[in-house]
Amino acid sequence: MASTIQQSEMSAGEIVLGLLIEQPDTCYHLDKRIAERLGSAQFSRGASSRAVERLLERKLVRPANVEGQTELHAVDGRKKTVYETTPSGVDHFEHWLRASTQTPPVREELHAKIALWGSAELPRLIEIVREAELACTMQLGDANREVRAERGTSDTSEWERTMQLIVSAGEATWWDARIKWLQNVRMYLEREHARRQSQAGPQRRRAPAR
Amino acid sequence: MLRGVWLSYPRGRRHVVRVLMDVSLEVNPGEVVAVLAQRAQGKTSLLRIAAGMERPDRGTVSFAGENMWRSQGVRGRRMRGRRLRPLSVPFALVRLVAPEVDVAVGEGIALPLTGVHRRRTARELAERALREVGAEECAQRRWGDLSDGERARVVIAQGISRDPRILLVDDLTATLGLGDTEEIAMLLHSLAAERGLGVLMGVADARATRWSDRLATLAGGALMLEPSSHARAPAAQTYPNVVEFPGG
Repeated sequence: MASTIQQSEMSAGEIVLGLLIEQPDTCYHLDKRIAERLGSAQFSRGASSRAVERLLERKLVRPANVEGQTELHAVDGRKKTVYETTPSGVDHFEHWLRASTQTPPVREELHAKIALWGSAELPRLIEIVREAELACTMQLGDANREVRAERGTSDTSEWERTMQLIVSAGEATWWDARIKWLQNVRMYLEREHARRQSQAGPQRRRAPAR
Repeated sequence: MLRGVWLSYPRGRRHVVRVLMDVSLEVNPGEVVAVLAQRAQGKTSLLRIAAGMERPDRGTVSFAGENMWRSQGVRGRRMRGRRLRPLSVPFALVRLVAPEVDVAVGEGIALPLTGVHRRRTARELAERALREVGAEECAQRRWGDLSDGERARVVIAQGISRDPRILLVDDLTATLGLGDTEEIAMLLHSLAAERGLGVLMGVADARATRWSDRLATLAGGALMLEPSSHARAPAAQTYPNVVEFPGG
């Protein structure tokens, strides 16, 4: 579970970048926007300010100049800094967005990309989802082979075999759910893309034939 | 075995459902390939095409290097001389459906064999098949009395009674619990290994993939196959390879 939190924190930086590109903001509001866009379960309060600290260090964000002031007053009267992305921050984000997702696919990272993806360039997002699907398929295959290798060699009691079966079935079910989620996302995006293509169709007919 | 296969059918007047898009897959002797797909994603169509029971819109389906459907062109003219007789195409497709005739299980397996074998031989082959799948005590019982696990074994027995080179399995474990699913998956794996049989199984549930040598997923017409370099080499390599399959 600790590694899941770590991975969430890693993605938090990119998520904050993406949101700041959409709209410069304070850490306080960023936490709220993250909860709205990605669900509050994944990020603890204060994840934004930690992320912003790291981003400041790497010069990917900077305090913004809002009407000559770099500070806003929050409801309780305390001053809060508004942050914005630097050009290198924008570069970093765009690069991250289009890169293939990690293996094994981190659900939070995929969620983040999907939540932050602009409406254009669906094919690339579909491709990313497709890659994640294949990666999960390979992971399931690996998990199957591992279990078989263990079961072949051990001299276990029936109880142990039953427990092994339950555990391995649990793992299979976990990958199953992930694969199905990715499949459904991909099919939805593909249908959406096809729909847009067909809407653009009548205009395309006017283009010169190749 | 399948290369660049496409299948679609029209729905109403304006829509086309693309069931399979550029699907390629091969099954080697002694190997179990599992295709994981949700309902209505083309599992059954894929298996039927692989069995030569349905013709794809595009692509080739071949067995032992030979194109199953008549091909066009100069090479095709040479193949056209050979007719594909149903009994000599060594595929068996099994599904969990009740037999058409309500007879004892053993009889039900023997009946289709009597077209080719003597009655006694047919019965012996049926009994042997049931023994191989561990369902010999089902021989005198009827389909209606069997549990789902026993039914799965019985249809597998029916499939192997015809001594196929490739067994195509259409989701036998959908209604089975943990233990039964595991047993059927193990059974198919050992049958493949012992008989040098190639098994292509469509499943809706990843639990049934535990004993497969290679894994693929199918959704939205797209098949994703584990790269063969990634998977361990199939058991087939230890068996004398009489039948040649197209390379992966």
